[in-house]
Amino acid sequence: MFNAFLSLLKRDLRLAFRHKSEILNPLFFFVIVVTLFPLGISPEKQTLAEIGPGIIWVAALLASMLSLDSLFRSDFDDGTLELMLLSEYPLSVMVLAKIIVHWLITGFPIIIFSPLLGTVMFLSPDAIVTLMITLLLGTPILSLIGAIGMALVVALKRGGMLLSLLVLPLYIPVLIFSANAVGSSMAGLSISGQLYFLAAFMIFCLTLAPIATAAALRVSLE
Amino acid sequence: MSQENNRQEKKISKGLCVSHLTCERGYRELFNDLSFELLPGEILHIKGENGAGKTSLLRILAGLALPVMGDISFDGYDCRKYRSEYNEQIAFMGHKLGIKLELTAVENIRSYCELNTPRTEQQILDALEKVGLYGFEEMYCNQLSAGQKRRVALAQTMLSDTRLWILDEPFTSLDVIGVKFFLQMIQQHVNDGGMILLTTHQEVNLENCRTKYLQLPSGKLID
Repeated sequence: MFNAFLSLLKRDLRLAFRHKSEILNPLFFFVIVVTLFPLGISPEKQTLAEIGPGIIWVAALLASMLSLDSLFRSDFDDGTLELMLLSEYPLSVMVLAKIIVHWLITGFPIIIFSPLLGTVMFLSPDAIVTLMITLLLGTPILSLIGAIGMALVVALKRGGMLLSLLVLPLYIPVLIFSANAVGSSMAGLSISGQLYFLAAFMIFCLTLAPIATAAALRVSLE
Repeated sequence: MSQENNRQEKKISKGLCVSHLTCERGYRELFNDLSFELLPGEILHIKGENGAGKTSLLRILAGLALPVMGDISFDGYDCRKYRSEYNEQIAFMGHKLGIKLELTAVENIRSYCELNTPRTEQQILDALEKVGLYGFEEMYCNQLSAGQKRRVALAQTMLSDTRLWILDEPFTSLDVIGVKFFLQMIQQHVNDGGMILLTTHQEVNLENCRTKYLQLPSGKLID
């Protein structure tokens, strides 16, 4: 089973590196959205530092959501998803491999670029570290929850809007606690409560989302 | 020990058993109260006009779709209850071939085998050679013709260590040599005790193979 998991992980990473746009598009989207705000609102240091955490997190959330289509769409179109369903190994394990790849190609680059964007938004060094920690805990949640939504709409031709309606409300707790943690860090307050919540939520999603996604895929393909 | 063997033999001889299967698409009933058996060494050729429900029946039998009513068992076991065990026994080739265009023929088959039955690199290369893709192993599938892509899918099916092959229009896009080779492959599989369920508008006449015909939507079975 672990070999099948690793095999799917390797295959999807190989596919992502052959389709570089899958990695670059969400990253460019993230960077562009964040850099547009200083131009549209105000380049003032105090204003940007105040709204910066929220902006970075909203941009990360949208970048992750926009790339959800790559999770199952091509597998559905070419029939490999059907073969995955017919494999003797548990579908939830294979789904987990796909979610990990999604996080590696969307969430991980966002974490790497976040210090740069934090600096653009005049966040303090402590706040940038907090931002990175929240992204490290929060972006996997985005991929895990997004996978359930994507699995539900994969067979629909125009499922994009429905996906947003399904997934965005579930992203709200992550956004609130993450942005609040960065803001608290800027104000010199304790952030342990927010981080504990994010860690607990991540473990909760990691445990249940692959099973829910597998069930949703079976329903969608029926 | 001999009793155990007998019991085992009894189980194996049961093959695929379908009883009282009913399928609807939207509000239209495709077929009703369909029952048949497929034993080892048999081919079931499903016939019917376009829209008669051939693909729907194959998807139900593969466990990819749910019937409105009816039971499917394999070796006496309920397929829905023992999904994982049933999946170990079937290979499915649908309209969508299940190959990634951005991967090479070898990479596609390797990936398929790792999700099902692990095979050595040499076995994969041999399978590709057998289906007539010698020299195309390292070519990306988006550079292959429709017939060659189907041959890659064929090699995948060939390497699956399964007893029941479910094939939906398997000869589409294949040239004469491809069809001939595929028929030989089917014959070999059936002679080895395998079972084949297929839909095709082409006549399948194989020597020494017991072929049954199922007409849809009537469900009439002709031996």
